[in-house]
Amino acid sequence: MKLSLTTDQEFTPQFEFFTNPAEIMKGIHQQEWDSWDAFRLRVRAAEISLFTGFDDELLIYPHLRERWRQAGLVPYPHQEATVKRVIGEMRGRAILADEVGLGKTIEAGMIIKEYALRGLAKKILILTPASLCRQWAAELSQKFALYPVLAKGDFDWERYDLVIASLDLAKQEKHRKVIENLYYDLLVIDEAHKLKNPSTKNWQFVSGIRKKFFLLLTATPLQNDLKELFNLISLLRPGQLGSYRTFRKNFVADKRVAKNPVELRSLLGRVMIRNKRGPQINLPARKVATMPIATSPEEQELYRRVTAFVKEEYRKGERAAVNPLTLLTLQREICSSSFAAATTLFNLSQKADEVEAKKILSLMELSGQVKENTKMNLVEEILRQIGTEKVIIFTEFLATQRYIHARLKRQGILSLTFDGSMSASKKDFTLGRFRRDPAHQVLICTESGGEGVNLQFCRTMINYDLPWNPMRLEQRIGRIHRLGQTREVFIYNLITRGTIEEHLLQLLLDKVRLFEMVIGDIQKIINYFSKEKSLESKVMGALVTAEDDGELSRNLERLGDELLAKLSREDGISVDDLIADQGGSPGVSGNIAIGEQNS
Amino acid sequence: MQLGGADIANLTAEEVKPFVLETLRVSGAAYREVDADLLLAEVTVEIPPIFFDPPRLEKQTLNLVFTPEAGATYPGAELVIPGSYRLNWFIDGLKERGNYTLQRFKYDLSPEETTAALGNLCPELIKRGPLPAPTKKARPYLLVNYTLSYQTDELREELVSLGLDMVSGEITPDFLHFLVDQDALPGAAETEVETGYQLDEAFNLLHTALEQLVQNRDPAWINDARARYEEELSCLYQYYQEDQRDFADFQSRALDLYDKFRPRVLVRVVNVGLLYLPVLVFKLPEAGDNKNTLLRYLPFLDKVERLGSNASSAS
Repeated sequence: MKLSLTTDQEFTPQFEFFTNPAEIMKGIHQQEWDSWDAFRLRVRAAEISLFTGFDDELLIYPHLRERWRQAGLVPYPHQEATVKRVIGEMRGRAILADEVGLGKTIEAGMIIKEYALRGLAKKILILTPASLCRQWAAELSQKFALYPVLAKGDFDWERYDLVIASLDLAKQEKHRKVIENLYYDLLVIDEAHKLKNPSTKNWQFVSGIRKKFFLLLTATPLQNDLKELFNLISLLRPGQLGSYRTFRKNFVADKRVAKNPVELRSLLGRVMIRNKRGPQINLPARKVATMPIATSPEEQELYRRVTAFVKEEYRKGERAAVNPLTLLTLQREICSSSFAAATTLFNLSQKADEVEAKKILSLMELSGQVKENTKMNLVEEILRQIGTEKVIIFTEFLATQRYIHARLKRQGILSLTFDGSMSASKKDFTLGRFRRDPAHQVLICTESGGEGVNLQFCRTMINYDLPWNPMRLEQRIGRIHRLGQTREVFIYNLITRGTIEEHLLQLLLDKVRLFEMVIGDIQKIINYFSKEKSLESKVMGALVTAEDDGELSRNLERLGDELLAKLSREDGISVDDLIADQGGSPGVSGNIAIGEQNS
Repeated sequence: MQLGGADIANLTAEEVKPFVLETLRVSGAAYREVDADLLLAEVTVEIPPIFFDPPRLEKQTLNLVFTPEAGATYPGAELVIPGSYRLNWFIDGLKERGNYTLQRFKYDLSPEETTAALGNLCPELIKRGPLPAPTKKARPYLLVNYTLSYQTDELREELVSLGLDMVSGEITPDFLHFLVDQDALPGAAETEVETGYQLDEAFNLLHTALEQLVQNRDPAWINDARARYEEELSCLYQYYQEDQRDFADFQSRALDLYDKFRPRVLVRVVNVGLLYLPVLVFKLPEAGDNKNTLLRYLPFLDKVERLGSNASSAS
């Protein structure tokens, strides 16, 4: 006999009368009579407003068909399949883990609207990074006729039913207390990969919010180890992977290698959906051009001397006066522009002892002699060639951004800057202006500014400098190469000859063939290195241990071999494989490259 | 949030337009069907009291079309389709109308037609010879339309229309259906009215009937939710028990889960009608052992009562 966890009494339906008979009597006694036609019409209105079931048909289609037609939005089959699975099979608790650019926000919007139309979600909270709050609000209102409030005041949480806020704001003590006392029909967390550690305030706060339905959105549900995966899934549905003890026993062979992958994959597939680019989700071709640049003798000299300084300090190890991370930054800055490096050199000089300071000041002096960066000549040339087409220039550094802006201004080219320090409203304004004002042809964007932003109306990107982490490069490209992009996409990578960037790009392009990889493989590389040292640290190691360019090439060659060996290794199942192929939605496919690649 | 139910989503243009026309007619708005596509309507809009106190009333002219194709013919016209602001606006507006009604119903069949109808119900009556002329009375009925929301982690709703005979206490389901083709006149009955239950007693009877109605429904909606809840609870228990996590936290989560799945029936009154239906009372001559000489005929319900006012035989 099956043991029941519940009693019949617990599942005897309770009646809740929402209309007070005394009120009705009052209406009758006050003779608030209306006509027979009005009476019957009132019944008809009630009848057509009924929620009549929970079948497979999504209500959003008839409701939003016209809005979508006007907005030119056609949900993709994988998005419809995702919504149906989340609502049907997963009963409203799911991790939406599509690759970057495949429309997780649209899927979430569809789910929110569907639940609202079915009468199952009224009180809804959406927590996102601060920089994405307005984008979410715009998407929901324009595409789903949902009108959220961006939480600001103390009373917004209780007062409004559909609220968007940054996680950082919501978790503040005064807000947290209010939120924890509310009961949400639906909680949505964007960029949920930040919630993998249960000892963090973020995890505990989100876990403590009372909710009926729960969506977590992240393109990178797994990064470092299986425990993080357990934590993320347990946040969504405690017990889905059992207790941690049983999980470890049943599924963990090594921190990053799973046992019983078939069973684990099946458990994950019940709460996680990952759509990947493939035959059914095809994007326009992506053309990548590498643009090598020979810099001026002054720039070369500055690069040579800064690199020598970095190497020297780095090799000192613990005795070094400069933090290795700062050295890594300085090395990346000097690859970006002399102006970016100058800022760090100045800061270092302020902290250094007399001998060191002298050395650094001489470098600063040298950087001061470099008045122009040769890279900008090429940028101007590209802009001339592509005419009036909108262009996004990505750089990692604010100082470089400022220089590009000033230089373009001198050439009479109007540009807008976009970075992580800007307020949400300023970001909104800037993006709107870039999109609508033909006079502003260029958007100069930093990494942090570009996170999560959708710029698919634009199809040309210039990478003024190259992130050493290939995933970040992919995320940059994902801003324009995403669902909604209808035209071929052009990526220009500007590479200064004779610098570490040139060697690195050679490694990524020729050996690892980065641009032909699917994102999952790029993620594998990143994951592999995060086990011990970051890829950036490895590249730095290759640089500082090399006496000359030849040795640097050989070092990076070895690093490339290590990467390839990892990618082709068959010993055990990595966590990435666990989410690579969950099946169930038509968009899911195996390792299929993204569009056309021309390097 | 402007929300609509599942049935709105299934409305076709052929259903939306008559609904809007009827709404305009009932609300007394001026309107004109320019052609098969375009409807012009002048409506009164209340500018909310948040801006004006008392609210300001303003006339607006609406250009309405009901299909995207018609929208292309009349650019600038408002498309009224499921989920559109304007359809929800009409539906919301109706919540202020038709909440109560007091009606009496005409009965104007000839004696021959009445005899024929009665003959269909009680053939033996006709065998006893011609019927005497009846006395016309009115029977009060309380018609209450309810929406019942069956809620677990899912939601399904139905409209229930119950008519309570205020004399006998008998409840007729789908009551509105019987009156669709009848002519209603506003106001109370002009003929003699039979008496019986008070309003508060009547509502109690209706609530009991609703509970009975729910009990007789297929319990799958409860059993399925229960199975889903048990699965969730077992999952949660494993997580907390085996890792020896905070039991109070488990309890609180388990309660939230229960709240998500427990079956509830939310009852909302849509509107209430106090209706006077005609009753024809026949005083029949005694025939042999049959002493039941009083016969009440309720023509709209195809019902005959004998043996005094509380006993009935109906077909």
